[in-house]
Amino acid sequence: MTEIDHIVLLVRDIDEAIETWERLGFKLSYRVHLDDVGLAQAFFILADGTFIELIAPTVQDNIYAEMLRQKGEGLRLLSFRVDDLDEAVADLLQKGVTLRGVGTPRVFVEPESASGMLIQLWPKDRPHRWRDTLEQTA
Amino acid sequence: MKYHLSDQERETGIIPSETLKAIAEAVRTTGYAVVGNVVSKETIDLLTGSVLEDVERVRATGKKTRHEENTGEGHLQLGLRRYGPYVRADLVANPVIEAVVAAVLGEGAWLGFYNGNVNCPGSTYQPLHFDRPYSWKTPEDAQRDGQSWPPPTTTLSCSIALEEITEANGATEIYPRSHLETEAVNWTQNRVEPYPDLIEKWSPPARMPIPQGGVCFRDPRMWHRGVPNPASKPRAMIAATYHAGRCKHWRGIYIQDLDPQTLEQCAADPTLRLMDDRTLGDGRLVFQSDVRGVFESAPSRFGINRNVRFIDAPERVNHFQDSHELGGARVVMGEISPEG
Repeated sequence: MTEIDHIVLLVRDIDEAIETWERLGFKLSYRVHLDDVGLAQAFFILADGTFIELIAPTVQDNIYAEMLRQKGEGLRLLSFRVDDLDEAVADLLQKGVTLRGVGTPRVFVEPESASGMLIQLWPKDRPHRWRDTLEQTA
Repeated sequence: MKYHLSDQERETGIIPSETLKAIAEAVRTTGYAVVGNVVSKETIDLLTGSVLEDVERVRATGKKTRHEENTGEGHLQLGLRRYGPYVRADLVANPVIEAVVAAVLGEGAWLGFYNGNVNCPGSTYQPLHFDRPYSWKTPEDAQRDGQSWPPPTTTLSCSIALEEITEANGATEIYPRSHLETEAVNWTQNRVEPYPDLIEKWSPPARMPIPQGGVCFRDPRMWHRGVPNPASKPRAMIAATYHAGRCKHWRGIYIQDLDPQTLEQCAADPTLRLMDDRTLGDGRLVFQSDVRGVFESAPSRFGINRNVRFIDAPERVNHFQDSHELGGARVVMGEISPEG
């Protein structure tokens, strides 16, 4: 777990946040709205291939809305690449780290085990589906 | 959604209608709502003691329970003592719980399951699953019955915390809002692992902490699983499950294709439920007759059917037997034992 795959910023308003990041010089790569999950996402690919993801809850009752109420806007998730998800999980569990989603494709380190930050373990060889969409439309 | 009852609200069993609406709405949208201070400390202490004693007896057999074989090691569906003084009105006839049940499921809802749920130290991960099927399979079916889409739940699970439940003692992992996933309506199994794309969609999961004496009201279609309990002692919880009045199966499944004669029989005799073999039978939960007064002294203010029957010695209810398999029919003659 030594390389960052992407970082996630929680924002209140996706349009305002896109404007903010474009003003800072970043170019919007893709945006999507997941109605049933209640989430708007925007992605900014960086020069090294990593990306910044902005997420804004569009309903009042999902995990992101709760996070926004509790902690406000800001950096809320760091996604780190791992060579092998199962090995990384076994190693962290053995060290007494508390995880969420063990045995599923999306495993997270509990914020209580990571100085308050939600950490995602992202297998190096796993593609990001939204990037496939980009390639198809390019 | 989290709400903490005042002592006055707990004692009178009356909560503001706006709060009740907000709880029901949270169950509908998020999939769960947690309400603190629902059950008295006296009841919690009594039940915690009895459950932990029974866990010791079960573990002393040295065998895995059938539920552990089917789900995950260390996760016990442990029956609760069905005799005095362990059957308490603030558990089986709690006006706040029944108010929420009526708000979610409507009048005529009935108690179908009343059991212990224990997560022992050294437990493993359960498979990610959901507990109940969808009662309507298509938007057209739902619309015909005047229901919305995604369809509402016809079952409400109430998890009553006998102690402070946190990540430190294996609070259940949940996927909020996943009960709204309409892809799941036609799945023939209740396991979610075969659908990694959907797990990604509804991630990240959360935990379901519940304060001691509090209740988590949960749509049982929301994906969840038991996780390891890293603490040194078992974590005890009570599971009470209610079903909507329209559900005629003994486990609360909504059966649309019942013939008119069967429906008439069920209407004439509310103790009748459809069994797994599709015959009609007695679907009530069994208690010892010494606790009859607990139910009768607290009639439901919300039209909830407690769905119970009573037996006298020498018949006894063996609460150690797995009620997942046996429903309310766990009557034995003589001694009660975890050996069955």
